[in-house]
Amino acid sequence: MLASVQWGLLPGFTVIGIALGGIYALAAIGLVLIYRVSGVLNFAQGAVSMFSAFVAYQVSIVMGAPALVGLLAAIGTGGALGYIIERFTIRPLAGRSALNKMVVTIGWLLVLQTAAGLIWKDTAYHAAVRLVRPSGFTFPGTSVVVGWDQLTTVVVALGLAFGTAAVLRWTTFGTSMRAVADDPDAARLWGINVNRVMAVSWIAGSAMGAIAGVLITPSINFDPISLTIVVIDAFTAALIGRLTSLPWTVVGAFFLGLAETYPRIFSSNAGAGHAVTFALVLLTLAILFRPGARLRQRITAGRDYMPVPATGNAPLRRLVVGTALGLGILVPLLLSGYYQYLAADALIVGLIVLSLVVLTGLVGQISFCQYSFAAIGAFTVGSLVGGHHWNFWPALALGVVASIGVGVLVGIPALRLSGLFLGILTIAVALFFDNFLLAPGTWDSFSGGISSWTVGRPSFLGVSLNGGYAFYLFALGVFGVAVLAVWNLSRSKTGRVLRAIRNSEIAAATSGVNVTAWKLVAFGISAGLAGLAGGLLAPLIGSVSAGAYSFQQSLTVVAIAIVVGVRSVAAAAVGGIFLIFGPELLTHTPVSTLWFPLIVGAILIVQVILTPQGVVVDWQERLRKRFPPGPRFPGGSEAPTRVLEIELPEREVVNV
Amino acid sequence: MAPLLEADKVSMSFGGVKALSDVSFDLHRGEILGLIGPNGAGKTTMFNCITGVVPGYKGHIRYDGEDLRNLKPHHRARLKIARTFQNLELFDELSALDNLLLPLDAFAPRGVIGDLLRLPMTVFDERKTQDKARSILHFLDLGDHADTPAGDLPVGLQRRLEIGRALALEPRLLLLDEPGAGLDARETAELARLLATVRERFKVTMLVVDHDMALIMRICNRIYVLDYGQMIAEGTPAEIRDDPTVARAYLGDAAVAA
Ligand SMILES: Nc1ncnc2c1ncn2[C@@H]1O[C@H](COP(=O)(O)OP(=O)(O)O)[C@@H](O)[C@H]1O
Ligand SMILES: [Mg+2]
Repeated sequence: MLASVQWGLLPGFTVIGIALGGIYALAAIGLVLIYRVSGVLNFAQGAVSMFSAFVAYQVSIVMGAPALVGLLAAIGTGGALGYIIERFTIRPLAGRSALNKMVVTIGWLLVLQTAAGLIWKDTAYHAAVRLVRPSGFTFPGTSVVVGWDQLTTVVVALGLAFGTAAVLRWTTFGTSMRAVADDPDAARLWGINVNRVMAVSWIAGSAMGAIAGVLITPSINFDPISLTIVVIDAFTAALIGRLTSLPWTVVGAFFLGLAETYPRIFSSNAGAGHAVTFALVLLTLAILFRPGARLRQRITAGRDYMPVPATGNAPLRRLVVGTALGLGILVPLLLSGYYQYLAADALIVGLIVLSLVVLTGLVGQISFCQYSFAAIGAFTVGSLVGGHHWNFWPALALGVVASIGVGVLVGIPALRLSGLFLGILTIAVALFFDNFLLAPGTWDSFSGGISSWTVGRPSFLGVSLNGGYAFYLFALGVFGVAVLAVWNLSRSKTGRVLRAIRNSEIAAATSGVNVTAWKLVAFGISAGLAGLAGGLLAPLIGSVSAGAYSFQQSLTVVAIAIVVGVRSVAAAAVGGIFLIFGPELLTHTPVSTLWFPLIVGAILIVQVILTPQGVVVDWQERLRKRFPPGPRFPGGSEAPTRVLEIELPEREVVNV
Repeated sequence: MAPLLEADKVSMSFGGVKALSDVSFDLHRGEILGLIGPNGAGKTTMFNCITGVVPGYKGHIRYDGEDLRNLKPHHRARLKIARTFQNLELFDELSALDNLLLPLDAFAPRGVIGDLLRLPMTVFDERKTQDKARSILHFLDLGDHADTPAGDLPVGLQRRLEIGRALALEPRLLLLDEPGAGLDARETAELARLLATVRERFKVTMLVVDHDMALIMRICNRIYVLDYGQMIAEGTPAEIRDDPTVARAYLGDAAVAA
């Protein structure tokens, strides 16, 4: 491999890397500004950039206005979006956890991305808005050509970064921004209009995102998805700047740009750069969270805890579960083969929602890579059954074991992280899977040169699962057993220990709980459930291909899990049905299925603001109020044995 | 016999702040030892070093003659060192009973597989554990609140529940960080009674931090005084009460001169 290294490319790649770094810096500046002032990690930053860039495209390319007018339109759009997001969806969450706010920005990501796809089409080629000519000059003394556009990107990035840093440092408004960043309550006492400062930081940060978006479009695939996920590189750069320092963020961005570009000197694998990003995310997180390192993490006052109900009303629960099971067995009998297929799909996807019930619902850890775990299951089954003619069952077992293993591996760096940072890590994992592990070619050597496998339906205890209804019943059985198992877990030691860890790691540890081990157990169980789902999707669909397990899917499933309520095992069934039949329902309306993520995103935003527990959990609460459970321990509140009645010596009068 | 707990020149600093400098003390079996000092003196930091929640102190902490340095917090819990927290670290979402179950769970031989399948053995052992937790709950006079989420209890009961959670570990050494903070006079009196009973019933050695001098003087055999991370005095309650250095640490020089 090293034989093909072309060192002659080094100067050229340096220019490309620096230009890429400029792009990342641009994307990261707004992110850091918003995080610093409002404490919200804005996952929608990339989506705002993308949407604004498309507005510039509409104005300049479609309508033919000069590029500069397009840029101004984009800046206006970005600022307006920033204002709307802050004013109407972040401000109402004052006092709630940072994670809640982050979830809202994920809702916005889905909304903006889907809207852009609907308006400007996901896949079509879009001509870039060029503010400067792409031609360039030869760097003095070398033969390296530097494009004017590349130079512009770098200069604008540096200008914005240092300009913003200067405003923060030397102007009165900058001082109020820093005051709000340090302590909003104290700032309020000082007479600073905190709401206005927050709004301005969102407007400014989003407008900078818009500039970044327009400048980036000539350099990357100009489509709704690619631009949105530039945000992960921006996160990495921002992490190098500890999410607060703009100059260091810029340094981080250039470093990242170069680090992603240089591997291409050695390897023709286009995913190599992404592998480097992944490694860098791990590395920065590891450095930031080394013991004793103090990362300025804004701690919001509100602790939003939801009491765990001691018990539901058991007869009522039996009635509901029994009815659901009966309907679940009978109704699909009456359905067409297509709907039986969808129903089985809904149950299998329900397993992925269930995997989040374990991870997010019990331990409070978020994960945006559940479909990557599912992919491990699916690809193991696919390559063993499709490529090596294994029997399905051992392949499935191996797939589940492999995904548990990968889950634990992901869990290890995640141990020290929580909330936002864990979110970033799992996104990095998901993108690493998308761009590298699942990319065409990676699995070829393992599977004998084929990268898409066909997987037939197995038979179970001698009964062929070929028929639609047969496979559906099988899926229902697996789902039922999994739900029962998770329900068992959640109401016994494991459930208590995991919830305790979520409430207070330190108290759990001093009570004798090995927090590390239990977190890994949770990751393992969660990944195992997702892997099981992947392994079952293979025979359901009949083939395995990478597109079905992307980061986008993981994002949507998280959104849906939160909407239905991640604290309840019942949510898994509802979530799966929603995720599969939601789009199906849309085909019967004038609205296209493409609208589905937009609808999910919008519901998510409203949801987090109104009923943060999730729809299903909310219903359960209401039912519980309407039909209160009996006492948990009959006779438990009998006259307590008073033991605290010992005579004490006279109280001494002490005056120290 | 060696003391139960022995701090030997323990130092700890955070950035530039020396929270503890060469602090040494002994805690003998069966004793209730008071640790007092103004805010920021390093009392909580001492607890954190003993329970292992902040790593990287200098010096030695020996428990039963064994150096604790390389033990993780949960290992130390296994050695029956329990603590409460100044800022209440209850499992807010869990019911009062579940809070007490947790330390018992942590030592129970039940594993994930048993929980998944809800094996008869698991269920049996869980019942047994629950009985134990409930008896502690009754001991604390919290029987009526078994199903209340800990976060919904009033502060006085939360403090008591936290002591109960520590007792559920069946500790040999109990560290109480400001158990009287936020309690009114009646609750403080109850607390003093509770601690006396606890010592008798559970045969536990205690290290108590509190600002309520009346409480400390009443329940402690001996008292150590920390100021700016340094041990400035040691003695019986009476000796400490009459010690001018202690008064100065608390009230400042002017007050003593006046
Ligand atoms: N985790 C920590 N990080 C940084 N500084 C700390 C930390 N814990 C304690 N300190 C500092 O150590 C000093 C002692 O604090 P502490 O032990 O809480 O005092 P006390 O409990 O006696 O009031 C204080 O100056 C405090 O700010
Ligand atoms: Mg303290």
